[in-house]
Amino acid sequence: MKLLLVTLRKRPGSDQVSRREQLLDDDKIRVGRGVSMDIHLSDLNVDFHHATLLENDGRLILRSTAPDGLEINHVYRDEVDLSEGKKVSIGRYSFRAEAGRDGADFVVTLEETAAVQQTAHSQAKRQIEDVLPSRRVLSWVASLAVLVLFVAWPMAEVLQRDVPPDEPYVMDGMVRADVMPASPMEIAWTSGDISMAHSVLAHDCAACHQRPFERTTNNACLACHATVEEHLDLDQHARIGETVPRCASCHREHKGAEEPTQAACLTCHSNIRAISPDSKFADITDFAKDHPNFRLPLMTGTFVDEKALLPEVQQVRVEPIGAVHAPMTEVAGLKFPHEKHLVGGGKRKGSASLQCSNCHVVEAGGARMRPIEMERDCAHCHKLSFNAGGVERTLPHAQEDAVAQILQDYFLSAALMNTGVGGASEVDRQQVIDTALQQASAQTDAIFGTWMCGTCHEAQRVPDDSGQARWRVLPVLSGRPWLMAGRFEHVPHEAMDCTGCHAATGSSEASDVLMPGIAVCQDCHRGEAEAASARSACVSCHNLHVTGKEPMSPAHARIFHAMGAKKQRAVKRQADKK
Amino acid sequence: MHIHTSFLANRFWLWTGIGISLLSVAAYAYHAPPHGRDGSTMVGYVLGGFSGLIVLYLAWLGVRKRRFATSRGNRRDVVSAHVFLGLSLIVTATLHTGFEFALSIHTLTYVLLLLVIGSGIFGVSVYAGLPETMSRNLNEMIVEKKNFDWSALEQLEWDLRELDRRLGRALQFLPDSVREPVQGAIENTRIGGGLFRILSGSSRGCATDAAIKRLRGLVDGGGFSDAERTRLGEVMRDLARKRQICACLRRDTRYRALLKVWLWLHVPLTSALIVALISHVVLVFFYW
Repeated sequence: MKLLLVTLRKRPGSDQVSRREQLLDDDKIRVGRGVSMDIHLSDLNVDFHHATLLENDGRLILRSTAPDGLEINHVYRDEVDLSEGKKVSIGRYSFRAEAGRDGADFVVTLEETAAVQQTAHSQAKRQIEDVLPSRRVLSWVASLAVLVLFVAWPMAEVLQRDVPPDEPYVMDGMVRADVMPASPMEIAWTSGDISMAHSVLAHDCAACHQRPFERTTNNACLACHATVEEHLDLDQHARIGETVPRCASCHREHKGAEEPTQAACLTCHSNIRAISPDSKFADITDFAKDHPNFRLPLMTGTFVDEKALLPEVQQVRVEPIGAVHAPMTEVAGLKFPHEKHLVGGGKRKGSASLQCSNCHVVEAGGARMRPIEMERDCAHCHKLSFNAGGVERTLPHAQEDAVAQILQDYFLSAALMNTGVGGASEVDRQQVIDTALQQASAQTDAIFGTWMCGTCHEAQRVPDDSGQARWRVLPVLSGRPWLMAGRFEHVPHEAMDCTGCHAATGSSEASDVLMPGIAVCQDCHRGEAEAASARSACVSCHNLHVTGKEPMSPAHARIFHAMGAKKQRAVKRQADKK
Repeated sequence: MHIHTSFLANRFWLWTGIGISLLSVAAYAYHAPPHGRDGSTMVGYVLGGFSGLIVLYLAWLGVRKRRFATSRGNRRDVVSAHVFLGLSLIVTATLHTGFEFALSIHTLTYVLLLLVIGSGIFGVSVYAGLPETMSRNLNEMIVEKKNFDWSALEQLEWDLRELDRRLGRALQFLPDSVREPVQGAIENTRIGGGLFRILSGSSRGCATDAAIKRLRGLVDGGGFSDAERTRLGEVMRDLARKRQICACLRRDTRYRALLKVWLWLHVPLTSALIVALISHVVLVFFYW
């Protein structure tokens, strides 16, 4: 078989086609990748020996010896008759047969399509730009995300809100009728956690931030806190300025703290005379450093006559400053040795030595001790019984005239019963009565003066309007607040020993003042600078808004009280209807 | 000091940065307002305003130093200012926060700033160290330069093409049993690809490596003529060389990516930071 092989090869990068003719003469013409093949196809996808050309009954057959076979119009065959003029592909080569010429039995045109660059390493993405989105696009996305999420979205809602006018108004029952919950992302405008007291407003920014670019107004605060009292008399603080100070200048609501910090107080109080030249307060920087000792309202004065029974009260500073237990006395109006009750013979029947808490109990509310009541706290031991004629009678407490009358009645009736009222003469009877009255008077004097009332009380004979002398027990001055400007609560101190602060075990007189000096407090309250300290900020003991001072804003207070009156009228109207 | 790191040697901006930081710390320490140190005190406003201006100035510098044609002055000084002023922002902005953080636009602004600075620090560190490593990496791989004008990278690319050509030619003398691995090495060896491949520089799953392993098995199995065995020896050497070059180019690709990848954080986050910064200032006074 003679075969004329025409090879057409397209040059890469041009339209030119090179043509080469070659005459092959063999029975079988081998086609493949191998260099030893008769027709050498330089393509890795072609097998070493891919196919064989052979003649069969005058027809030119291309028979595949490779598993990939021969491709005709995307169909793979093992054997193809080329004489039919079909175009057969092997790899990037194609074969087409034509009728023989120039002495050849067949002419086969072998067409080679240009090799595509097969190597992958130069095609893979190697630049980071190729695998990441453009920085410009990312910048826009990030910027717009921040703008939309944190500004545009919440702002769209915020700007639509109705705002109250900037004038005094008072919330009815502290309910915001027009409450507009914050947009979810508005919360992200916060400059810090809101204080515990206002946590209910944490998602209601507009309650305080009412108008754009305006500092929170006092009107917003006073809408709820209408009656809050002033901290100071503005008249005496001319240098602070004409207007009411901003609430927010002391109350920093986004600092997470519960109350104004000590530093806020010290702004003025570390040099109080700078704004109030006549202030009676001492300059202070810290409780532990320069807080003055307590000034106690001590009773002075004498109890000479009935008019002087109300004693004078004098503020006396515990001296010397820093004294642990104040060596002070006052007029007590009572004879009560703490020492005797706590340490010595004072014993309840059938019980151990008395404890402080047997008599002193914190009153409801937890601040002060409830006042001592004789019937409840003393009478268990100190019975007011008066035994006469084998019958025990209990005298009433705190009723001097009644006690005198009971004694008189007793002695008179006893005398009359003994003498027999009908039998005695007028003179005898008068004598019996006089004797009885004398006995009664002596007994009354004894009871008031020495052994019953007199055990604990100081009593005096005071003439009444008709000139008759009557026994009067001097008032007992217990159960009054000792600290006039500060707050002290017993409950938080419950775990402590009472006598750690109050030197009761060494006191033999009721007139001993058992209030501790400031140094006792400073043992635990070591100042704000000290980390290991009990709370010692100013507001731990002192109220910022002073009870009894003028309201912060008279206008708000007026509206509030007017509202109260209106409410009361409304309630009354409803009750009347029913 | 290498040419790449000379921007760190600028004493003026170094001391300016240190000076700003020290001044900020001193002001912060000195000023003790009653409600504590935060962004709303006098010093806080100054620190915040100053930080904001620096951010805007640095963003502008960042834009300017990419415009080679119009940039005036020494570009190295501009980079130096960018680096040292940027670092001093860590101090001024942190003091401006007063160490008060919340889930808010304000803290977001601060976090964005830190991310921008952090990515910038990464950028500086790669600029300082990588170029030297890169040229060493490529140069160590060069056997012979075919063309004086070519860079090391171009030479290695040429080497790879030449190796592929040689491998393809060798297959014309080798039976079909060895074709698949070698063809795979020629056609499927990748450098780069996805983000992970680029950034890791990993050669895991390299087709050339797989081909070497498979060929070694085939050769050990025997069944080749002496001539084929000789050819296979050459193929193995070529494949080993290709594997070596590919690993080198993967490292190179990784280094090139590292030199730039931080910009994908630095630039978009700067953009977001500027928006957040302006929002922060406006919103602080919106809800004063």
